[in-house]
Amino acid sequence: MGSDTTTLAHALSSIRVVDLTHYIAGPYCTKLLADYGAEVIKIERPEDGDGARALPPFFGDQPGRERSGLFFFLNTNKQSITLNLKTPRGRDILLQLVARADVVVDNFRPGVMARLGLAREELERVNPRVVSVSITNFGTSGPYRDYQLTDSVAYALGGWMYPMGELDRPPVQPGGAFGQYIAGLYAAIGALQAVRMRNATGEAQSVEVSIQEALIATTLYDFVAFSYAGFVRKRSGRQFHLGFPNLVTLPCADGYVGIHAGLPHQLHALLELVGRADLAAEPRYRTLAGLGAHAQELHEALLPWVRQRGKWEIYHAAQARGIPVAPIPSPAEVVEWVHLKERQAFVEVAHPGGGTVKIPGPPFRESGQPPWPLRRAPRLGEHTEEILCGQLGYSTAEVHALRAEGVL
Amino acid sequence: MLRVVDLTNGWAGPLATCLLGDFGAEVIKVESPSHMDWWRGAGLQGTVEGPKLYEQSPTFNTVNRNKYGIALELTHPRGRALFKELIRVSDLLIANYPPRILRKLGIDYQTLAAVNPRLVMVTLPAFGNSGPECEYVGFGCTTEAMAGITWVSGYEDGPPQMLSNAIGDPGSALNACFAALVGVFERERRGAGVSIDLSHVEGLLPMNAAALLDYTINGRVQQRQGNRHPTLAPHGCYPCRGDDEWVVIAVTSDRQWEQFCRALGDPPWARAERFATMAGRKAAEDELDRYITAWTQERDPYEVMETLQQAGVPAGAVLSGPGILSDAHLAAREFLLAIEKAEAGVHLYPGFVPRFQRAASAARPAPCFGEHNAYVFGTLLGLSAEEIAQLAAERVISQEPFFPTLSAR
Repeated sequence: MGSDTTTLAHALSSIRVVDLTHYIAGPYCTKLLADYGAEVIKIERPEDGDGARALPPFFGDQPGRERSGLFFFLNTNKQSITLNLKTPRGRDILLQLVARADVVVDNFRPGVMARLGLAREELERVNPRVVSVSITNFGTSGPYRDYQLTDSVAYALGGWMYPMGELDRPPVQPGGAFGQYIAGLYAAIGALQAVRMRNATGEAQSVEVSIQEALIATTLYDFVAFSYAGFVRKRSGRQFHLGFPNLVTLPCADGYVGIHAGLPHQLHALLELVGRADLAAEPRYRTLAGLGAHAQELHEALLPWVRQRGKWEIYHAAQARGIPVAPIPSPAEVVEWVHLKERQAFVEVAHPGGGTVKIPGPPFRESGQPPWPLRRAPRLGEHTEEILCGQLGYSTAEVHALRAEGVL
Repeated sequence: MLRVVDLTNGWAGPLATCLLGDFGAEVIKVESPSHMDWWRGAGLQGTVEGPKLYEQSPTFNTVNRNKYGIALELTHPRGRALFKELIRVSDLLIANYPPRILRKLGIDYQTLAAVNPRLVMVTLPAFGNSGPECEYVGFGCTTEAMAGITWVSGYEDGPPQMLSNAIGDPGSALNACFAALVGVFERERRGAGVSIDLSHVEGLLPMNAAALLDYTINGRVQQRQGNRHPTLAPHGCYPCRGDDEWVVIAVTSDRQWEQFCRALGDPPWARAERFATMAGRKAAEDELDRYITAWTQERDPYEVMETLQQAGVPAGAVLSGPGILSDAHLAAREFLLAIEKAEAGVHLYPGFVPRFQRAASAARPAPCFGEHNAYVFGTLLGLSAEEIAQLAAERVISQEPFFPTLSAR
């Protein structure tokens, strides 16, 4: 493996992970570990597996256990075994895997691991050096511990919704489910840091991530601003209102552009670009505070130029002058964007049903190198026999018997 | 212990190194006498007067805790030489500049690897280190837009909505922190350093995976949904008693609908046949929302949340900044962290995420400008007091920013 020094594909090859996660946050954590080389064994319920297998989008819009595109994305580079953790034999097999693992990740509700006889003390009993990582909605303590969470509830209690939207309308939730991914990232970071601490001390370590806390820690700290000066940030529509009211979304000839010229010199360069250098020279536009106080006037000065042009034209013209502008691309435009194609940001992964699927590739790579190939997500229980026989010493006959008993 | 040289500014880079500092790494934040971290000039609402405003930014002070701070002029030959000395005794360098800036400063990876072959370097320019648009620039709202997140955010009948918190920056911060740790493992594996290329935009693509995959798999372009859900109803944000108070409610199954009705005391309107199934409720969503609004309007958000959650129905108060400070759950978990900083006083900051069972969790305040020049140049790099004074006299280092506000020059 030492010869392979131009890719990060094996960076985490010293780490073995037992993956008890489902849906998005947990699987994204273990996907990150797996895509960078960790050995990840995914444990799934025998009957229907990870609930993410039932999440859209589906291939051809047809739901099915092996048809979720989202599951396919979230489980690359992993192996899947089925295991009924509610049976004593199932639990035994799990503990055998834990005994030879570095990290166990779960995102069960608080108390479920203990009910399954898999409390941290049990894991540490079979493996005194194990790192356990738990992702929960609201943490494992406190009055909301057992509360239900959806994306909208996470955004609301995580501080993301209150400042978002128009002041005369209800707060609006951000698109997508990034709260889940943020929690997964924090958990992956926690797993690596815990392994480093474990390696240094030889002691087991456990890590806890609350989705609510993960979201609060990634807001723009409105509560800190309130603590400093009593400032309450309200919804400000298409403007970004925390010191940079010049960030604004404006309509253009074929959609919308994000004008993100937040710093004075950027805004001055933009005013020159649109033929309003006269305004850039005004004393009230020299400081950030002055620019903020006249944001409306500025946006109106930009509009005639912006309205007559297409979003990609505006983007390139502004960026060529070092001005941050975004053409607000649709998901289709993101996938077709030439810059990302040049960088091979999306990778093709073979699908068992034939053909390939285009998914976002690893989020970072070695400088100057392309991304590496990812192995497709496993079919439900695809590696059960391989792992039980190859790694735990079961015979094929035993595996068949366990399957007949409903353990696998 | 890792020693991290932090050549970043704004939000994404500094939050990445803040996490490493929380974990116990020795993080040395490098500012320039002629260019303070511009984030020092941000987030100053309500704090419009007083000396050293650049020490009073709540946003800067949040993401720079647990770091040492120096101010070193990298455009000066002596400054660059000292920077290389610092790299020689460090493990990690994190920088958030486009490639041309690092080349111009003469601190690209090849140059630094010659000084320290075990250096792990993570660069996180907005658009990555290669490709036709790699020199383009962006804030968090730019990069999240380029990942298609802005497109799918906003009211169902409105324009794309910039995220008021910007996921682009903290999302990239977490990617950079993960990249740094992956780099440290890779260094162990290959016995040599490594240079990592992290594009903000590419790191954000996974967070929009469902919409991107719907296009790559089915050719569908997802649109904004506001607070509604493609299949679930009720699903929305409802007004509550009080000024600008709101609650979100999401009923995700017919069983939860029954629990919802019971929690409301089985009102007559809820017995309507058309509301009994998810499809029926979805079809009559506007009418349904009017009934629910009439109920929530009479109650405060916490009452609605607790009533519904105790019945097993997902609901959440929409927390403002002060709402987070007074939330009972966060208080019970002791999530917020009080830190005292010179020129700013004692304030509450976000606590540690993730939380480790066995780890010291101390928090030192964000450094004042150039606060640790003496420690870094003296103790760490071995310069004498006279040499340090000489550097200050030549304006290579400083304890005051030459330009203390964000203004055009």
